[in-house]
Amino acid sequence: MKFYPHLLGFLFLWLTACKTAYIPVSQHQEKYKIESGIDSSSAIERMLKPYRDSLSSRMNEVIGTASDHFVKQKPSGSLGNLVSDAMLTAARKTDPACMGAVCNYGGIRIPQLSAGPVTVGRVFEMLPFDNELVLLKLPGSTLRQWCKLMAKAEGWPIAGFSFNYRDSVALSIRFDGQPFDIQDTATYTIVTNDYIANGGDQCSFLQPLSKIPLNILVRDAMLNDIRKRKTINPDLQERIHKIP
Amino acid sequence: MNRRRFIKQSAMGAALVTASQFPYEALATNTEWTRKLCILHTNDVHSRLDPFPMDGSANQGLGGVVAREKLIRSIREEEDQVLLLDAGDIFQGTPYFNFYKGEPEMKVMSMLRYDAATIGNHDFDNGIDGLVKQMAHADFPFVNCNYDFSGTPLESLMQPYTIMKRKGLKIGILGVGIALNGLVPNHLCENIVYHDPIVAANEIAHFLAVKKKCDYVICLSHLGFEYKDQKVSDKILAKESEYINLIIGGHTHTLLEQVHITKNVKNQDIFINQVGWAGMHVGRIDIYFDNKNRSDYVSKMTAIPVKETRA
Repeated sequence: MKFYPHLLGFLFLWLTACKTAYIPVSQHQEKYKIESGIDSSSAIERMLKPYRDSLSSRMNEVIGTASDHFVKQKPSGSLGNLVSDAMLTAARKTDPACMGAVCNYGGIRIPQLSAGPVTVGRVFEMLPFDNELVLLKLPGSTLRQWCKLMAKAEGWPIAGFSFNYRDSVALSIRFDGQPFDIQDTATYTIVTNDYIANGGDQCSFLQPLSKIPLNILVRDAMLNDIRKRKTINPDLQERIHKIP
Repeated sequence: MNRRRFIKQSAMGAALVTASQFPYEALATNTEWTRKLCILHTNDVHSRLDPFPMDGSANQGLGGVVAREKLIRSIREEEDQVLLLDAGDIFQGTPYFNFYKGEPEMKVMSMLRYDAATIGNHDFDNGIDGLVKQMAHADFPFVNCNYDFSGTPLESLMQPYTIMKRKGLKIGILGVGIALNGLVPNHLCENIVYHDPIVAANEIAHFLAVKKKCDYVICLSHLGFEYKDQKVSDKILAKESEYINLIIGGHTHTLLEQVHITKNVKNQDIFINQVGWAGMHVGRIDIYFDNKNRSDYVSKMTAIPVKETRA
């Protein structure tokens, strides 16, 4: 039998190059809750500080007072009412015939606004997206479709109108508290944000509609509204109501 | 950390639990192991660099990167094989993002030495160019395998997977993202083509486990934990996956009480975890390995009730 030293060498290399395989044999899990103050000595804190300081001067400005807690909830909540009311107020400055406002539930990003001073920073956290107000002229059939979507989502923040729903079907729509018979072919003016108007949050049916941009951020409409009113009171009206 | 010391600590930990609690920790380590990997993870941090303000709201004082850094540093002092991962939606939610467009977020994650992250829908809030600009501040890889970035500035910056070698262990990390249509305005994610995350993830996971011989495959997912309808989620991905060991999820801001344990197509255990949002929690999963053939694989894993630890 012949001896092949090069072959042996190759075999040796091949064997040693072969990675040891490991398989998981047990696992352990933990979860840490992160809570603490600012440690001024940390490198991260030193890196962040200049960013924070230049934000603070602007963000810490108090623009008004909340007389009580505002809560984000479905199907309706005082925080959603606050935002949608500010949208409607801003829109009516341009078009007094604007009948209502719709904001997507996910457009509001804090679970509650506490009673007390309201700062610019808190409004930024409430409405962080740079979305602008847009007026939509929509046929009644589309408005109905929209209400159906809001019913399916178990409620979005709205202003100017209200409705009940049962099993994802919107019923008895009212405008300004009055029963309202939506005509499929009539046109209705609603203000919303450009994210939804461009088809976001399952609203692709709004995409083909013509849009009138109001060139104001939803957040700026909210800031203006609080600045003007000074004290804001929670409106607990259940604008979207679930019938069991 | 060596095994002896760990067992000693586990025994001390077990002694502290109340009599009604079963000492799961002892059980978990009552198996021979030669390698240990400590996986730390976050998701949906949403620009929450500072803790929530002390304004009486439910989350006041929670979160903040200074405290997170302190926690991670202390874990790294104990553990030599740590992986720090994020499942996306790094951006959007505090004025930091409105004014600095994600720069401090990326700098902080680099300073915390994140090993990999995937991208979420909100990471496109300033468009592809906005994300690209901030990725210059990130010194960790971004993984996604179900978006086709061809012809976009992200093409050269995103990778379908990354492989981390840790003391003989080979860890494959891939990423999957949610359908952008209807979630991200078209003009912000133009020319990114979404593909089925299950198909893409299985293909990459097979490649990592079989071709690249990874010992463990982690999928960073921004699909969301679960939905009422049939929309693809981490739960669905897990059921239909083959070579993924662990899904680190995001998007739905789900704070899981415990790691969700389910079965993959081969009826093997697969784990899903997600830890809420805003960096209020950091998840930790320790995996103990032994050098055995893959054919010997038995899904012998023990889930431990979660301990909440304040940093």
